[in-house]
Amino acid sequence: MTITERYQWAYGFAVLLTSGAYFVWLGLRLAEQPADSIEYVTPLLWTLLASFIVHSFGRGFAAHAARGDSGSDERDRAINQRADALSFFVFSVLAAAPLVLGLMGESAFWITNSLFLAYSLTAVIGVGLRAWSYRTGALA
Amino acid sequence: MTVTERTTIAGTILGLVVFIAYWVVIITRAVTDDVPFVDVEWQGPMLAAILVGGGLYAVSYGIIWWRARGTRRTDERDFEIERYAETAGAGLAGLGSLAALIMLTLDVDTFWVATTLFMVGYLASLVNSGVTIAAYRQGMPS
Repeated sequence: MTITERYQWAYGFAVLLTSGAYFVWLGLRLAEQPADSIEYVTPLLWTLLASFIVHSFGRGFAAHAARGDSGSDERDRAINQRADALSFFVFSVLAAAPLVLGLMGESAFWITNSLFLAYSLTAVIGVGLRAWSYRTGALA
Repeated sequence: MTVTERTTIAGTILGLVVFIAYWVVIITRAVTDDVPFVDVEWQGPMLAAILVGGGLYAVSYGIIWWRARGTRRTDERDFEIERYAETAGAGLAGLGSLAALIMLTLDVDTFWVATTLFMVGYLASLVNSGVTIAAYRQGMPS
């Protein structure tokens, strides 16, 4: 496994852990109270910070685990480029949701969380595409 | 000039016209009504810009595609340039969207958030088109 592939797993783990925890918390809150009364801003900012920290630690562990392994190669670059392009396409589609919600005059709660969900889903799909490509060679 | 190059140029020109038209409408409304931008009715013009721009691009794409009937429309070079340019602008869109998310948490007016998303979406597509056209004209870096 190259260091690039290990970095992708670190990124996927960070996003799944932090964004997953945030959306589970948000779902539980939504079951109990109206959306507009939920104080979501501080938890969301903590989630962004936690994601950055977990990702940084994950990269450190990945770099440590990859000692002696081969560095990035042409296949890594090809997979990254194709996965980035497909992720960009996915994000463009998902980001239409917060834009439409904004056009409809919905509250900041729904716009913010749909945008963050678009971000998180794109990250998870991007890592999934890379993992799939590394296993099957589909995007290389 | 290949079909892909023509459609890229047509899309760039249409995008620029629609983008300028949107801002002309917004600025005109703000000036004539003497109101700040956040109080301008921006939802209609933005929705129109997205729908009309997308519709005009689809029509121009169809016309260029139809006029090239009987010829080979794309070749290996088109494919290579598409691969080369496809991620151009993606970083800009990602950063702009993160900025929009931060603006929302800071309770910035929806107008500025939507405008940020609209601007970075347009600029990302412009960067993509610019890289594509430059690759057709000057070749790709080896």
